[in-house]
Amino acid sequence: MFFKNYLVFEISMSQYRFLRNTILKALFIFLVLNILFTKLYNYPYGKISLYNILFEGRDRLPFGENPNKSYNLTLNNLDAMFSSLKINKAQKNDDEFRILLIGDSSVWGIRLDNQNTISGQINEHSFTTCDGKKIKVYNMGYPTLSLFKDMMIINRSLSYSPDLILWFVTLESFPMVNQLSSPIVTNNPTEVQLLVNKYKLKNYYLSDITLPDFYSKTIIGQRRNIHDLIRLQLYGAMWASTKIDQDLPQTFSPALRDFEEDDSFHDWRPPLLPKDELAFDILEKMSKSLDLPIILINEPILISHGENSHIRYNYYYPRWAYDQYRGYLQNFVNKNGLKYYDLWNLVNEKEFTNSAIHMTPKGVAKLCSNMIEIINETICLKK
Amino acid sequence: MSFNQIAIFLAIVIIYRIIFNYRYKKQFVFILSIIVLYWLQPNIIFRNWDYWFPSISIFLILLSWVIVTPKSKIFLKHNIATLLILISIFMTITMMGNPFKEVLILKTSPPQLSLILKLLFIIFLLLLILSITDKFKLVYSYIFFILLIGIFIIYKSPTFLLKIASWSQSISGGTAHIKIDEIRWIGFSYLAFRLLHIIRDKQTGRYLPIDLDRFLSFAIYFPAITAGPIDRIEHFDQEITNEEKDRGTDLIIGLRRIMIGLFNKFVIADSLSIISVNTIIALQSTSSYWLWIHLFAYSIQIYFDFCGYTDIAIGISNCLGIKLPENFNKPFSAQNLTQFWNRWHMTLTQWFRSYFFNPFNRFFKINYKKISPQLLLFITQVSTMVLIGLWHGISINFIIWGLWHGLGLFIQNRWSSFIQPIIDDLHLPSNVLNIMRYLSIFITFVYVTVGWTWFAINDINTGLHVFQKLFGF
Repeated sequence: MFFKNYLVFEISMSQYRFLRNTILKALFIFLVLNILFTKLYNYPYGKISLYNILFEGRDRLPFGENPNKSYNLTLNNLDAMFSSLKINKAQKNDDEFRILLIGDSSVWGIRLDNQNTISGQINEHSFTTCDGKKIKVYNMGYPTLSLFKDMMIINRSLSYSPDLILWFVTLESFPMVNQLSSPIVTNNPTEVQLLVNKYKLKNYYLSDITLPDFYSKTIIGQRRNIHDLIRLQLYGAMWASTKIDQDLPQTFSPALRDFEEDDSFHDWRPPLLPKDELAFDILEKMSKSLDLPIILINEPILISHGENSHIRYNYYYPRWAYDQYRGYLQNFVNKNGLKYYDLWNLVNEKEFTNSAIHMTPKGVAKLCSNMIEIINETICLKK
Repeated sequence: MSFNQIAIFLAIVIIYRIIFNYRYKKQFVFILSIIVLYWLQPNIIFRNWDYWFPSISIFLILLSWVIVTPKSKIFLKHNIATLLILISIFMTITMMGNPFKEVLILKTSPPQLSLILKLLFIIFLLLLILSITDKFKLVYSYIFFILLIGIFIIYKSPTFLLKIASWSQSISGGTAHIKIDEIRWIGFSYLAFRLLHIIRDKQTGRYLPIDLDRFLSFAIYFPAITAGPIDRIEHFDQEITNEEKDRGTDLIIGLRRIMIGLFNKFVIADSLSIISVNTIIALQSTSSYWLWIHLFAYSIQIYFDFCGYTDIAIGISNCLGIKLPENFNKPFSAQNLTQFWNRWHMTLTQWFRSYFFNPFNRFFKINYKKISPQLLLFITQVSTMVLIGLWHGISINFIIWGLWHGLGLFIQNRWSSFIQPIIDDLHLPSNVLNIMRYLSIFITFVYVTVGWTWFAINDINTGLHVFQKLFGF
């Protein structure tokens, strides 16, 4: 009645009809589009990308906390993430020996530009194998600590036909509770389900995932993802123009060197690190199911000499837990016949930046000189 | 204006429209414009300036109204009632402070009440003195004119403004580092030009006095406070007093315009802003090819940003039954710079034409009769464009931007005078003329786009670096 008294007669009947019909049509179209969009949920629309077409692909997976400055952003669409990489369209020639680096933020290269990451520094040497193939190393690291996340990336990267995988691990990637907490894992439940089935992993990994309901498949439910996809394309232009994919402020908070008198690791206390709560099953299943060589590397960590450093190596690790982990990992690789290098104490304390695993270019260079030896032992290198 | 602020405006306007249907339009616009003036004022790092800036705006409006209004029309019941309502709103905002975080009218707590009351007393005493006689109003108007231009120059000069900000901060004992971008006086650029227009009209005898509420609504009309358009008071007054329906200003037309504006601003302009050139990107970009793209992106972005806000202002006004003047008319399809400036920010261009270009031109014609028409054109066009540049900010980059357009306009004018008769004589086929037309559009667009360098980049060295990179010299 209220609307009739005012809108209908005051704006005229024809205008009221126009308004009503427009709203109804708009609602109908919006509803239909939303329903149709749910059918697209499993369609890899993230692969529609301007990278490698209008502008060159990225050197590392998209990740960025300050998009306006880093020209990069964190998103959850794996198709879009991989489509934005240079390797996605890099034709593998017969004379190429392709090495992929898998791991966390230390491999991705927090506080390092692309030339200074592990892959960047190794590529700088322009090695070839002894049978004349050019070594090309690709950075497939991603800044969260989870072996499941690594497995997800390895699984996707297999389509790039790698000849060798170097998998950098650290204890913080192992706890079962960490496995699904990486946003790209949490937000890709269908992918998690697929991987658990493909690699016959424990059902534990399915316990915490929530499969998308109807609403989250609609345009409204996917609005954040769609927004991120568009932004990823726009930031691609900025990446191509500036070659910047990370905000590197001059000042940063250095990694902690002094600690509380605390010997806990997650909820665990000494003396025993519960091995069955570490995700060794992922390492085992992955290494057994892959038909290509994998080298496992226990990545360098900051070994502090500050307050209470007799209790903790660094912010992440109390000594007792880390020492046991190294023992577990050594036993694991021995049992499974994996190639493994323990480089935990390779880099000097001074060469760490804002975290116990992030290194300076000099620290990375030290690691790289070892990596080159390791690769050489496996495939024979020449310069 | 943020998306949320626009959505709130829209909701309020629709509710008003449904309930009152154009009735009490004057009162509605008057009250809302005052509240919005305080609400849109961003927080400023030094104390209480988020309160003082809108308060000074209102003071300047009152002052100009008293100066341009004859004594017989000031002390009318209606105006006294308006003044009382204004004081009530002002005191309510002041006393409320910022109690609700969700609806922050003031961003910080207001100054002490005793100080405000003292200032109010002084201001009203001053206004009363100025109102007593009409004898000196012309003198007052010139003083006010100079005062307003003085404030404008200070506000638009980074050096002056920073000095005043530092001084103000030292008085209040603040220590925070002040950045020029953080000092924003909401709507002042537009307010100053609206008041200058009224003062000049008064001085030339063209101004017809109006009541305080309509005067104030014109000066700080809320949809147009941040990005224009700059209306003329006589036109606005007709619109705000007209409560007729079916004037082509209804809700549907308004909503459609708002939707277009929202899309232009928040989808196109905001997306393009990611890749638009700025001082940082200009230095970071590694190739001239990409720099051209960033510059073209900026050109399109600034158009959609500005045009989007104008669409929103016009759309909201349509919903209220107020027709605002158009500000853009497909400027990038202009075939030459003269056409471009007849289509870009039209209300500002018209303002400068009326209050600077034409009087300046007349002045030269009367006082320097022997001056050649070409030289006169050169002087007036270049000085007008430099002034338009300075309106955006008193800094060297805006002067260069003004010169770029002033010289461009002059050269284009001379070239057109030379080439047009030749083209007319050649009787070229229509397809050749079409090609020439598209080429002209393209050249104009590129010229305007390259000129934006001085708009987007405030550092001269970086601007020169961009030119060097763009043209590879």
